[in-house]
Amino acid sequence: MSRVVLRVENIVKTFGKTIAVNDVSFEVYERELFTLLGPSGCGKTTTLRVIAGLERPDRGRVYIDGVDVTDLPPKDRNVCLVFQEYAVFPHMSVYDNIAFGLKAKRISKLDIDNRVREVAELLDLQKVLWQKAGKISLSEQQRTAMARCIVIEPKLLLLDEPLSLVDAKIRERMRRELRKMQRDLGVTMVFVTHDQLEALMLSDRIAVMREGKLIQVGRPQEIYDNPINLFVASFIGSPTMNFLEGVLRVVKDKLILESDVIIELMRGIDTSLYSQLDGKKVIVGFRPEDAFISPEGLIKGVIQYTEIAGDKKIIHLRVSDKCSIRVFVDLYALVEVGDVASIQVNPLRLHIFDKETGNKLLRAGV
Amino acid sequence: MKLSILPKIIIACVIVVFILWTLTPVLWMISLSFKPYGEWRTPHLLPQKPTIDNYRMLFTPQALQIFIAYTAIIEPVTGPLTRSLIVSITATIIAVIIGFFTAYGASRYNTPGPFVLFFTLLTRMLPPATFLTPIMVYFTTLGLFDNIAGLILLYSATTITYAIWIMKGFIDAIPVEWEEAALMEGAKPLEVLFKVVLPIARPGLVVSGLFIFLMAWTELLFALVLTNVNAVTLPVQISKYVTAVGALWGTQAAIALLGSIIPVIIGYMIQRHLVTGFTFGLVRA
Repeated sequence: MSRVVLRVENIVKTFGKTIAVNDVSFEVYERELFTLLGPSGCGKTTTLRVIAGLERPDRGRVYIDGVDVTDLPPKDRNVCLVFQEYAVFPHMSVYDNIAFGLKAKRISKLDIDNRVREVAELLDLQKVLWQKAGKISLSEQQRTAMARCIVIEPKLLLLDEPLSLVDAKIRERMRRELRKMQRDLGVTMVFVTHDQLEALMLSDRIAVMREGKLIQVGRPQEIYDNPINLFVASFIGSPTMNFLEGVLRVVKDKLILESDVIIELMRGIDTSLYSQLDGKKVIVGFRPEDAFISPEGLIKGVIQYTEIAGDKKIIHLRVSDKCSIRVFVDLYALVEVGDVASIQVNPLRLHIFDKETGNKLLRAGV
Repeated sequence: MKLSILPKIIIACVIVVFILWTLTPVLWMISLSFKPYGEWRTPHLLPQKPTIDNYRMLFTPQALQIFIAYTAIIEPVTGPLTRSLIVSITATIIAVIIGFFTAYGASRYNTPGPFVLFFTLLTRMLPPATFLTPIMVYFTTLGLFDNIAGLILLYSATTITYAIWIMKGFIDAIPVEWEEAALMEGAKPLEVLFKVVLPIARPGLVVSGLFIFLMAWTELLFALVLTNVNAVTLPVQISKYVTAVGALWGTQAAIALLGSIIPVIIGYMIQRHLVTGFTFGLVRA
């Protein structure tokens, strides 16, 4: 594992009575793109501002490159934050915007010029270099903001939802550009977003936050495949995971869920693994892509309606009054609304959560 | 389409009437300033025998025989004009500078607190005459009576509240992220203030500056009471041409014209900022 660039230790930050960040700790490695992901108000932006030095934590320490920077002002931390909006000074040209940080550092004019032009070329800003930053397009403004940070060569680049204001088409392109730039320059980035898809696409590692607490940290695939609790399971993935609520029963070699109807989940299970769960109130989850239509399928339901999602079709299946599920099928699958379909769930992809705590009890096959 | 012509005509007429209503006194003043003594009370809009005697009179009051009676009280216009310029400009600069820093503190750190901020408006809520006497007493004690320093102090103190409130609006509209970004990139707090906040708030600075300048430039009541010979300002000078002895209408028109030209010139010079200044709130909202 490579070097730790940022270490956040037990950060607590309160605003009046609200606890914005509650005992958050994590480490970010060199050249990594680390994402703080969570719904709005989960404390991810506050965490970022604490790292940047714009907020003082009530408790906890922040280390950058092994140095405790908790008490240092933003300019002495060697970090740079790209803001969600208002990221550029509208009254200055793009050139002056990029040069701003260098001028503050009292570097010779020639060096400033070289570096500004170098970064402008990297971010494709040469054409607008002499225009007022308030007059250029949003995407160019975003790149200018990025350039302003890159030019001062910080140890850590912090980004606060930099793509949220850009419209979908451009966002996709900028996401790729951002990823490529991060790789090419080898910068360490902490990225804040509420968009789970963006986090999955961009990140080396993701930290999922909720109500000020860090819920799960892991690689995108880990988070997606093995969510630690119901919140992560429902927050990550689109369309969201299917959830069935009921009491779990192990009958011979069958795993059964007692809801308003009896749903047989699996056959031929390893009873020793599941016996401890017998009689527990649970929520069973599986992703729409982890189930398929099969004549031997155990879960039966009536197709309510279908949606086309690119090369796949989503069928909405009513299993009982309380349960309905979504399953991906082939775009050309012969399914009609009103048909009865039987569904087979990939047993390796079944998640069982405790209904009381929401924590994962067991993932089948693990 | 024909129907829409009538409202247009009505609107045009209203505008013409309004313009005449507004401009007639000004035109009359201009015309009067070029009329010779004999024509001052005649109803012609244009002078029959135009003359610049009124203007000569302003600069050399002793020049013309008929004005001899007034020369004791009336000095050449250059004195009051210079004084008014010094007083108004200095008071404006002081008020705008202190106002800017106060507005910044009020906007970002909530100092000196909403009550004190509101309290500054108090100087503007009372009828000026109520504190005329106390100020008079202060000024006499402090040696500020008939002293332009006293007027500068008074004008900047009573107008500072405008500078604070106008500029606070402008600074409130500046996203704090701009300042934070600058801090992040290594700028010192004062650099942030002067390189980021000040340039963006400049229209506010200009608007409040012009506003305060005009107030100081036209203030009569305090100047009349607090000056005698040494600190006579232009408005006081203007008032002196109409006295118990007689009224020099033409000369007064000439000095009034002179007094109006300066704000017009200043307004024209900063026109560019004025437009952004006055529309700033609208655009943002």
